[in-house]
Amino acid sequence: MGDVLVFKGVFRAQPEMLSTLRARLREIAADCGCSGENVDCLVLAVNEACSNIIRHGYGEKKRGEIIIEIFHNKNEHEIRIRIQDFAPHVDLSRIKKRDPAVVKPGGLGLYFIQKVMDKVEFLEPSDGKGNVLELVKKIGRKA
Amino acid sequence: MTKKNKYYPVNRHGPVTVISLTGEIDMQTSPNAREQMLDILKKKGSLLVDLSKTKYIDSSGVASLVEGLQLAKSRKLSFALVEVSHSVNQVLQLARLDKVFPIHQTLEQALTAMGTQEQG
Repeated sequence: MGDVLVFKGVFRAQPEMLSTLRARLREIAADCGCSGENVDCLVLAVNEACSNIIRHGYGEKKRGEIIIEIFHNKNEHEIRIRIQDFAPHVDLSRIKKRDPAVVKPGGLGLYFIQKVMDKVEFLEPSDGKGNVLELVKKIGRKA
Repeated sequence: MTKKNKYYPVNRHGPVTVISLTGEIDMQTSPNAREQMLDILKKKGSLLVDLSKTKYIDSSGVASLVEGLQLAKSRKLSFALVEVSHSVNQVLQLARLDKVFPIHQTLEQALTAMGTQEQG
């Protein structure tokens, strides 16, 4: 058995969505057998990814949609999350990485995502529009 | 009161103001938390941030705390965190900021360390 789609949702890209999304994500991750620690990691990563889309992708206009798909692969013991937006193209390699030795207010979002997820990459959108960020987390065997 | 206009509870303990960041501190709520913390530092002085009732904090919330710390340092004021909840501590550790902020276990310890005693 490969990836099974366990959730697909379309959200308006605005800060008000984040609390609702986090609560829903906690339920889904727990249903997939994630430990509390892994639930926290998934929630943090998806929250940061969506915050970046709202702040940097769509920007001040705060218009647009975010599509979130969550796949559970029981054989591989992993959760795969695809986050799609329709904002201008993002080049991950051009985003300046945070130096953790430097204490400054910004730049933590992507750093958090990369720290808590096992794989982070942009996929080519099927219709060529926007961005698709894929996050993968190994969740271990269900106890 | 809407979440967007949330006003966080504040108490005075001598020269130290204590603000309690309750609930979730994220992109939606952190602008208010940030504004309130910076305003206290500018108008009232040293600030202690109570994180015991903080259920969640993201990068924008952490950034607000860093801004508070930096403003306090620039004005030679005290800025510290107290009763940091487990979820917040996890995020601070992830950001490697748990050793950057002065963190106290109890309000009493914090106020003592910040040069004052709790005043009824």
